[in-house]
This record gives sequence, C-alpha cells and structure tokens, in this order.
Amino acid sequence: MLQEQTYRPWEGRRAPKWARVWALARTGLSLPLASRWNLGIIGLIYMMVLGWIFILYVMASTDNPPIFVLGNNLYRDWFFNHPMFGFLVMILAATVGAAHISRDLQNNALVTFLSRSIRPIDYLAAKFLTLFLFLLSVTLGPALLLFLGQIAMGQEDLTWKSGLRDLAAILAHSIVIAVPVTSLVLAFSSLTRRPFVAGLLWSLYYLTTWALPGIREISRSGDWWKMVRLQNLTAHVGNWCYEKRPLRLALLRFDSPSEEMPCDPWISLVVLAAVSLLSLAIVRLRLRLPEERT
Amino acid sequence: MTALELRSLAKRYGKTVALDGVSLSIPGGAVGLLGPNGAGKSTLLKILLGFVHPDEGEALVFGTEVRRSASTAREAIGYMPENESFVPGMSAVEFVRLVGRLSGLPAYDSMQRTHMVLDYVGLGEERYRTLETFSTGMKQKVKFATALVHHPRILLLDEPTAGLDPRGRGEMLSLIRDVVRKSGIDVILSSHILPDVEGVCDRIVILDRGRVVADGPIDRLTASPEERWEVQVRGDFGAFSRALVAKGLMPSPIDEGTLDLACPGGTEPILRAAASSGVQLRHLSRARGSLEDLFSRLIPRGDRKSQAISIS
Repeated sequence: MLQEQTYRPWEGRRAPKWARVWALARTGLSLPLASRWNLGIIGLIYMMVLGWIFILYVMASTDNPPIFVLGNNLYRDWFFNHPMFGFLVMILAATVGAAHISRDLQNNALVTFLSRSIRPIDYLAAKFLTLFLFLLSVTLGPALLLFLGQIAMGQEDLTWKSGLRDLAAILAHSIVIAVPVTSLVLAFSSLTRRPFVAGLLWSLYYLTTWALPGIREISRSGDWWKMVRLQNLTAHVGNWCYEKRPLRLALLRFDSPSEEMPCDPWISLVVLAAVSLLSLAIVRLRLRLPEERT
Repeated sequence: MTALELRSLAKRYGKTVALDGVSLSIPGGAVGLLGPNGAGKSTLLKILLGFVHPDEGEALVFGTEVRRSASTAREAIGYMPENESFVPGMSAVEFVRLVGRLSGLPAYDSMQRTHMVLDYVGLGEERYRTLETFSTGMKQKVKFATALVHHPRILLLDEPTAGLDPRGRGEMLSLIRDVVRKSGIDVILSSHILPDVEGVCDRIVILDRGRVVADGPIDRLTASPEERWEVQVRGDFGAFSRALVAKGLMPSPIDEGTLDLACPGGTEPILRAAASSGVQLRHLSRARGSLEDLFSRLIPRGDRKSQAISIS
C-alpha cells in the first residue's frame, strides 16, 4: 500500500473558542493521571471515604446497632474539614497544579500556545478549568460516594428535602475548596519557570499559614489570626452551606476549627473571593510578561 | 491581498529603540528577514503575532490589523519559534494535535492533519514517542509540523535550522522550499544563516538598528553595482584571456573555463574576444554578488550608519 506523504491543504470551518479552551483543559487533565504518585494520593483520599463507608456498612449489618448518627457532620468534619484531607489536597495541588504554568514557561510551550488563535485569558481559563476539575474529582467525587453510602446505609431518617440540601451543600463545599486552591496554586505556578519551586512555594505557604494560628504567642494577640489559615476559611464558608440538624447522638466528635472563627461566614467568603481574584490577577499579569520580553 | 503590511512601526524598550518607523509591504512568496543581533527582527515577529503592541504605527496580516484582532490575525499565521517548545510527557501526535485544536481545527480534522503533517515532515515512525526523547532535528521538525497543522496562509519561521547538523539543515530547508513551491503558503524566514535564506527565499528584508536597510528581490539586490559578467568558454582559455586583456579588460578566473570580469560597455568586447581567440562561448551572464557581500556592505562594523536600498 502506498502512503501519501505530500502536503495537503485544509479547508473547513474552525471550531468555536470554547472548544480550544476545552482542548487545552482536557489535555491538562490527562497528564497528571500518568503519575503513580498522583494516583497514590488520589487513592488515599478515596480510602478515607471507603473507610467511612465500611464503618456505615458494619453498623447497618449489625442486628442491634449502636445509635450512630453523624448527619451531615460526616461530610463536613470527617471529610472536607479534616486536616488529613486538607494535607492530601495540598500535596496533590503541589504535584499536579504547581506545574501547570511553570512547566509551559520552562519549556516555552506558552509561546507556541499563545501564537495560536487563543488569548492569554483563554489560556488562563483553560488552566483554571483543568485544575478546578481535577480538584473537584478529589473533593466532590469522594464526597458523592460518601453521600451515597450515607443514603444507603446511614441510620439517620432523611427526608428528600434534607437529602437534596446535603447534596447541594456537598457541591458548594467542594467548590469553596477548589476555587481558592486552584487560584492560589496557579499564581504560585506562574511565578517561576521551575515546577518544583512552584510546588515548594505553595506547600510553604500552606504549611506556614496552617502553623501560624497555632503558635501560642500569636494566638494570644487575637482570634483574627485564625483567618490566615486557608482551611479555616474554607471550612467556615463550607459549613455555612449545610442544613443545621440536631444530632441524636454522635459517638465521635471532631472539633471543626471553623466553629471558633471570629467573624461571620460571609466575611470569610469575601476573604476567599479576594484571595482568589488577586491570585488570578497575578497569573494574568505574569502571562503578559513573557510577551513583553525582547 | 498583501500578506504583510507594516506602517511606520515603532517600538521602544526604555531607551532602546527596537523598531524605528518600519514601513514594509510584503505581497507574499518567500521572504528572508535578516539583520544583526538587536536589529529588531524578533520584535517585528512578536508584533506580527500580537505578543507586543507597537508604540506607533500598525501591522496588518492579510488585511487584519493585529493590534485590534490579534486572535484573527494569528489564525492566518503558523509560527515556528526559535527555541525548543513542547510539553514533556506528551507524544508528538498529542502535542501537534493539541496545537491544531488551539488553532481552531475541529477534533477529527486536527487528528487527521496531525498525522498528515507528521508524515510530511518525516516523523511518521516516531509520532508516538514522547517529545523529550527526540533529537534536536526531530524537535525542529515537530515545531515545523505545529506551524503547518492548521494550514496557515503565512509561516513565520524563526531560525528554523538553528542547532541542526548539515543533514538536518538540508532536510529542513528542503521542507520549507517544498511548502513554498507546492502549497502556496507564504514564508517569512528569519535567520542568521545567509545561505539558508539565499536557498529558500526570493526576496529579503534587512533590518539594522530598527530600520529597514534593504528590501527587494535577492537577485536585484545582489546584482553587482558595476557591470560585471560571468563568462564560461570551451576551447583555448589562455588565448581568450589574452584577447580580453588586449581589449583593456581585466579577467579574473573563477575555475577552469570560467572567468569573471568588469565590462562597463556591454558584452560586445567579450564577444569579439571570443571570436578572435576561437573559443566557444558556453555561458554569459551578469555576475551576481553574494548575500554575504550585500550584508557586509549594508551593515558595516562599528558605528557608521548603514545605507538603505529598496527595490520593489
């Protein structure tokens, strides 16, 4: 069989702009899944959830089960607001997200991408979408699994309305976590050409702001220090989304840091929105800089 | 329609003048963009891509003003950057396909054209290998494939043979020549390697310190300012040379049977010398200077101002 290797022209209709943004986002989504390390961290997050589902199953299979009703606390304090979940998301964001823009800067791929019929804002939208969807897959995905487990095996008598309210709250809580983390990580990623340095900067930021409110000398100077911690802010706003239901008995209790926040949840929401917008503004500014270099 | 139209383009970076009122009209074809370092070539390419906005003037790509609608202008452009440009972990197929999608090709067309251009540049066998395992020559070919994937109307090639061995350089130049001749795509070739430009382009633009110092067809720009002729004869070469000297001419032999000489009065004395010495005249043409001669003449070393030539 003869293989034709001559150049052939193309005449066709160009795809809409959103299809270009989606093409870049989809490629970005497939790359991190090639790493065993990333798959391992994702596996750990799902293991957390599967652990809870197993406990729910054991309780549901017992003839005289103890009263074991966590209600929507199960999603809040035992998943989204749990420090272990926060650290796993931080590590994933560092390994996956921090490379997003810095890798394109390091390998000059940004020049090739921006020389096409996309604008820097389209590139930013694609990168945001990539990391946002990736983070949703490790926040909303496991939380939905937990929700299904709770519906199927939980001991709480849920009404349809409460169930749907929980579902909406889970979605909102996931978005509250994913949006600021995505914005911040992209900002760190755009600051350097080295993905490793970007990941390190993000991790240092997260760990420093995590540790600061815990230092006694600092915590004495006022409760406002608690607002420095990203997970406090996301937990505060996230908890705001859930329906308040009295628990019959909670055998397990975990003190959510958000319970002691010194302000109304909407202030935390404003802070998170401001941090996200500022981070995205930094990225936009950094995407201009390579263009202006001679 | 004119491929590129530049009107009084000016760009400064602080006190450094990158472009100083550049006006050009490039109808199409293969055009070489030459100039020493800092001449403004890269700035010009970045303005055409909409990466940099000019301080004054405007640039039009096939009638589209780049500053107003850079995205539309870029649809007509296939850009091959000078430096390596890829995403590690992606195969050649994945990367070229992605760039095709970003250029506006629908998913199916993008995949089909990716395979076609990778075959065309000679990477059909290696298309599924990850890009970081490619040699410099293969990476250059991938960049060329990404520039071609959406069938642009004009290619902006920035040092396409940089870092290539002689074989790779030959292959790349052959591909560019083929695209120019068979596909009807216009080419702007920015290069420091003058023979590359000479071998591919039929027109050049030379920039120096942000200004156009030469613009026109290569053969006319490199034509000798005095009437010099290249003559090839068969027969008694010595007798022919002596006959020329007898007529007051000063022939300089190039090789056996070929010589170069200045003959301001036309070809009549040469023809007579050939007749009197009994040699057969095999070739007689106006001698052409090299692009290197022209470049050295127009871009003098030191601080002397360069002279400008424009031939339309």
